[in-house]
Amino acid sequence: MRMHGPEPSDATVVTGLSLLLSVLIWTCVMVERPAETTLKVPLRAEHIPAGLKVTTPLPENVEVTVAGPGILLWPLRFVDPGSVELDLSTAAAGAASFAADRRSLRFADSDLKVVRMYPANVRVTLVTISGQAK
Amino acid sequence: MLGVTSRVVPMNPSLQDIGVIRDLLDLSLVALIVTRLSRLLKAQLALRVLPALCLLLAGHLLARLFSLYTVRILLDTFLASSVVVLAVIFQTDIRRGFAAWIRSKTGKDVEMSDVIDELVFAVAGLAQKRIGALIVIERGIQVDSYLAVGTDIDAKVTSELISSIFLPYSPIHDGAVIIQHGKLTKAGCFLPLTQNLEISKSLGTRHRAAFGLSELVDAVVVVVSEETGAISVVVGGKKTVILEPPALGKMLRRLIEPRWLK
Repeated sequence: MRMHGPEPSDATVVTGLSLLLSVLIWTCVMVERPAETTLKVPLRAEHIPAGLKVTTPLPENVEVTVAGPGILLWPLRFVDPGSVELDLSTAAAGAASFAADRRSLRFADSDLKVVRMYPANVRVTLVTISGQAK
Repeated sequence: MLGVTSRVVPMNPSLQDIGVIRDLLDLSLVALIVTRLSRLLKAQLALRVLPALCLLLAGHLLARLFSLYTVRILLDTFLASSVVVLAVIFQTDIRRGFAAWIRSKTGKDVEMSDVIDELVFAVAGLAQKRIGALIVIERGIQVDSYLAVGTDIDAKVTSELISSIFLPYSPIHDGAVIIQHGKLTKAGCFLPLTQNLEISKSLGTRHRAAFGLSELVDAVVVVVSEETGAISVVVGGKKTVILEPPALGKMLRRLIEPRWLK
């Protein structure tokens, strides 16, 4: 007499597929959990007015804390988000503090947000380049 | 130069341990639910549905990882509707699965009726005389909505009654006898024929009707072939050939719970 119902091998495959599906469902949910990661991003002084030069050494990197779903933070380890700009277009000769521009960072997904930067402000001293000064 | 530091939020080691245990518990519960639900489906069906769902979820993960927005929206829409679509398409399988699950939760402590003995005796006699017969024994799911034509009888199940119904000169011999709650309720009923192309073309209409009904409900269908006199039991779209009448009784006692004969 033949037994009815699924063959044992089929039952094993179904169980295996069910476990795989469970792991995938769980992973899909878990990777969406909000998390934060900190990147060291190069700082670049931009738009230095003509006739001025920066005399103070700028920090090489800025620590940028990015928040978003875990799955989107993970690729940041391998992808270069660019650099943080220090916009000096309004600078004049002398010392002043300038905010690092977080908008200069470009992320592939809008779910990623920059929540903190350190240092957020950089103190810069600019001097007139000799020969061009009045 | 780009560098990545570790996670900003420091965690107490004991809290980390709790987190791991919580995640494992979470995953285990998901696995339990998915495994239980997949067992409600027939194995062949589950083997087609589960890989498709796995592929959809893997595609969703990859689309999310690589920020493929349009692909992600498409897959998400498909995934969201797949639960309802699957429930509609496979409603009979799910219903049968639930019935089987409920059945497995109920004990077999009620005394078995002699309906099965009468059935076995009648089937053995019909098989010996090579008289075709088709007997449906209802279990958890009602069969009424799948029956066409038929004559209401509502009589006690006896081997004499069953035999006389299937005698070739009987006006209701060309159809199925329905047994519900231990009573012979209908005879001469036409059953839905199977649409399964994998079923051998050598099988006649009686067998096709047995397959057709058993694919829709959890009923046990007993078939006697008028060509060979062979006895078969069809359950859930699967046929079991019975070599000897005692084996039929044994099988029916295994498949039918006393509560369905009351």
